[in-house]
Amino acid sequence: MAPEALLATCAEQTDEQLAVATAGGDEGAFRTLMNRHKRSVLCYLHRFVGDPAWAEDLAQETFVRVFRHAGRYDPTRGFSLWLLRIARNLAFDHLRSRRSEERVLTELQARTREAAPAQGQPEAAALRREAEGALETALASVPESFREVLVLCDVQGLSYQEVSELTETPVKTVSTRLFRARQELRQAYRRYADGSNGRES
Amino acid sequence: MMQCARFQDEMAALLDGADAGTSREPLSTHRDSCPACAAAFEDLRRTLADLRALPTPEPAFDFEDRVLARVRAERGRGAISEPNPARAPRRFRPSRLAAAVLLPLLGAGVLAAVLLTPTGTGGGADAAVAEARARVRKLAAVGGDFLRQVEHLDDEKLARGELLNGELIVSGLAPLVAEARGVLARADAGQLAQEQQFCQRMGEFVARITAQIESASDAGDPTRIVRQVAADLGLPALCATMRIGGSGGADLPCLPVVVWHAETVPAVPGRPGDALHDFLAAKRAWYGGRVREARGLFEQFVERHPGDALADDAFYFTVRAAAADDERLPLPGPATAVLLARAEPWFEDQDAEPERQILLSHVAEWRAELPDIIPLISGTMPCASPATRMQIRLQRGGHAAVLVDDPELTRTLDDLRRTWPAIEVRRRGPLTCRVVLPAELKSRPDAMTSLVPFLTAYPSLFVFRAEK
Repeated sequence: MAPEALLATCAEQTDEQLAVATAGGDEGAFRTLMNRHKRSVLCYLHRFVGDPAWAEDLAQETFVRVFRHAGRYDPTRGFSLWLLRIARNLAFDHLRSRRSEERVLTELQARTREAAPAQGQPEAAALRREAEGALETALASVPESFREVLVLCDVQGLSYQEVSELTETPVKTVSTRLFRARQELRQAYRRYADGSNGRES
Repeated sequence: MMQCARFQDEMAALLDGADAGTSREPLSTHRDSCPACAAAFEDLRRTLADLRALPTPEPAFDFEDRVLARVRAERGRGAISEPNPARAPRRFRPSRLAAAVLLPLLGAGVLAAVLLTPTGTGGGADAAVAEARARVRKLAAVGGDFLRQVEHLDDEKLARGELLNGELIVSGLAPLVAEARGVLARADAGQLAQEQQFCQRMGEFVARITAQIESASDAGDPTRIVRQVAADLGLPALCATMRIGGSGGADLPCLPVVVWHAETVPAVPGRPGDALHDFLAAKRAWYGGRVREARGLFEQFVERHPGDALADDAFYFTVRAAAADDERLPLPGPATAVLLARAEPWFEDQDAEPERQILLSHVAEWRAELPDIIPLISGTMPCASPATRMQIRLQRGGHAAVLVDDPELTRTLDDLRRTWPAIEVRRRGPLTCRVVLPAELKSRPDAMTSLVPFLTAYPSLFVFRAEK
């Protein structure tokens, strides 16, 4: 099939169809899947893992596994959740291998400090950068199991039901964790935002 | 009356749009009557809004290619898929700059194609119309993003040397125009008058820019000319009409300055010896058609500024110039060796075959030399006072992490670890390994000295972490 026809065909197919085609070794379908989902996967991993370089790496690894295990994918179930499950497993492996939460926090703080005074940015941009840094730091300070639910619900926009399925925890637990996560994030954000520039938000 | 504690327990539900509350009193009623709870609710709402508004990281420009390369390696060099027409034109190696500029463009194009292809159309004729529309909208997305970037040029970007050459515009847009035309020719013209017109104007735009590039006499401000040509053809408005979606050029991290002749490379601050100055001097020669001179300057740049972000670009031009002269590169020096290791995928395209051949022969040569790469780097890397520089970095850092995306480099690091067992190398798949240098190494000047050239050679691969 000519490339343009291929692209047009792939563009019309659902994720599930593309995943099945991928299982059959169709690289065009796989490419389309990556194109559709790479940003979302990267965003999830970035928010969850914290470090952008690791997130990129893990996102690529996620898709390598998608290709490798596409044969095991059950097309009657949503592709997005299956994809997220792979990303999530990788993220947890990664976090487990990392020494401690505190280290992540230190890294984030360091980055915030470095990023803020960057080359002659206009003040508004610098302030925005600082606020973003504070929020990233705050997010990293939320314990893993809570942070995960927060990222899935509030960044990825998954429903409680979907998160419950993905994390294999009861819906009730999901909502409790989300509640805790939001509270912790809110408090930490306020703390870091006030601490870093001394202004009331 | 609802208690505040109860409200704060349940206010998340309010955010989710489900006002659980009690049967007697909805959550929103309590919020509206209690200033403290209203403030807590607002704070939470704003925090979550900020969280959603955090900038989304952009995937690597060659994300799909990297994943596919690994997948293919796993499958043992299986079938190579057909080239993706949406991929960056490899004639212009996607440098840091080009990646920042081009990929959002191309990403936008693909996104538009994916989003906008109408689904559920009936017969073949409808499908042809739908495909033609999708094509044209992709062209509009890419073209529109480009034009918007040209609108956002400023002197600061210019001074930083963020250049985009005119050829890149043409090479990015021309294939899209050709594709759209091909598809339009096959579809029912009656339904596609607007698309036809747009495509024709875009073709005209590409043709005029090409003429500018080819007319050696022109010395006008290229940015102004691009703007003028686009305005003459009514393209900005047309692009906006034709496209829905896209990345939005205004948000891009860097903006292009259009360059197509030596004279149009902007005057640069700095003196000879400054990286930016040297780079632009080489580019002037390149665009002026003085290939041999340019090559010398680019080679010099690579050796003088091995750690500079522009070294990749300089090396790329060195290879192209060597190919133009049908010559081999000089034996790789350490900086060249580093770049060689990363350069293979730059020249994947068939039309870059001479460059690829040159490169491959050097990569093979370099890999044969690999066991000695550390002495090679240590022995020749220019480094004024290595120990000092290293210590400053380590004092700031405490430990260093290296991100590596080359298996050969990983092997080099393994050698390093054999020499210095205290160095911790953590592997994460074939793409990356991370090296942590323990703080006690600071007191080992001999270790530091052997590491300095390494760090200098791969500055972009090292991530320094602060330690309390």
